[in-house]
Amino acid sequence: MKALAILPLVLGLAAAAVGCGAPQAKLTESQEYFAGRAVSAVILQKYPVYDNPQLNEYVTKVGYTVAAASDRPETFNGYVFAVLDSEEPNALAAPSGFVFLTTGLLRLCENEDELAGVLAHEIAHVNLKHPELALEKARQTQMQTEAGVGLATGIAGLATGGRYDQELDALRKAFGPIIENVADGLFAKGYEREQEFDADGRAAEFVAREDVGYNPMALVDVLKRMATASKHVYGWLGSTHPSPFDRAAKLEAFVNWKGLKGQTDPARTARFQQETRMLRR
Amino acid sequence: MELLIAIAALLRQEADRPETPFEATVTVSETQVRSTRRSMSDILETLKEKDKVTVIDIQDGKARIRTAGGVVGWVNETSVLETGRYVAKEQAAGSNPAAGAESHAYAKGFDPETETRFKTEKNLQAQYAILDKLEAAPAYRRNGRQLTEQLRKFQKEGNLGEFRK
Repeated sequence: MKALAILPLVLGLAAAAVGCGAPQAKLTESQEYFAGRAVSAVILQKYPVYDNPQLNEYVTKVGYTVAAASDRPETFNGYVFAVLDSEEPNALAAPSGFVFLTTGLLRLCENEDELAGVLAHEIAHVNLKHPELALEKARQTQMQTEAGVGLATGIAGLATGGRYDQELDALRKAFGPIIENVADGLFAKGYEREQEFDADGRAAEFVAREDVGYNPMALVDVLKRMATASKHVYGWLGSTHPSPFDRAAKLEAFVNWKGLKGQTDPARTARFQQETRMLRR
Repeated sequence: MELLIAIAALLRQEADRPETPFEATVTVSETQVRSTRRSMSDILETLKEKDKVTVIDIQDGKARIRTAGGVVGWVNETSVLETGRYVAKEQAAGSNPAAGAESHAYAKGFDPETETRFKTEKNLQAQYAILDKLEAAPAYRRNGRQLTEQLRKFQKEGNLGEFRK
């Protein structure tokens, strides 16, 4: 039964490994970076940054430790981690490694290994190019709108060597709706269900790697706690996510099947408690 | 099943990867050339976007390279791209509208000029200023050696990486 439970996750990771159904990266690193900045700016328009540079620095160090051991240790201008001031437990990754998590989600974590698991999940999305896929999907949606007709004309014009300035202008006009669509979707619903499963599995692998050493089961603990604590279906628990209990069960089975090892460390837990104490006042 | 997955991944990687040695171009704004494959090992040189290197070997996501100055060390495999593919990607996604395929056309919007326009039209100046501040902090984030030093200290205190018990 356990083998059956993890079969979709295993097949998903296998598919990701061979590139089946995973489109090749179309954006250059710098284009992904500007797209990421745009999505991030829209998110910051809705949610303020939690004003505590020391906490942000701590989260950044945990994030960098995990990112360095991931399959994509560097993005164009480096990963950026930021804590947002919101009671809703949520985290998201924009293109090019802009990773946000809320104070609400931080309050649900009990130790640094759990925080690392949350960040690893978002880093996994960046590794798997899920943000870029979201942009592509938003672009296709945009193509179907009235503005998209103009965009399609612009693209066709470019392809056939039409007037460069006008067509490029049409493309740039479509940029805004695409970015807003992606930003709104990420915060409210997250990524596709299978992408969330894939990110969970990859996250557990990252944190257990030789260059890191966090507890790969810690993310399971966070998911279980979130399922019982959260009042709203939002973000990490959004409508397109699989049930958190489902995710926790699948991830637990996957970690055991892969034999991933790691223990929550008391020194790290003490550090986490110290660095996040202001959230529990 | 695990063996199947490992074989599939290996085949995919081997099919995608050109044969070493090959010339490659740095695709990120900055990357560090390190003495070993470990992510916190000593930094030998810092490379910038578009710098050319020769990839000598690839192991476990790290590329052993020789820089234009003759320094031999390791970088992240994902931070360099075979030069022919790099040029093709840049051409397809950017400057030549006639060369851009439809599927790449939307990428033409993601550039500094678009950011300036987007920032103004959507009144996002304050948010971009916050992003600039986040990207600049902490101060050592953009200095490879200082970042490595800070992360090694962080890992040592947390029993992580080479310091794990």
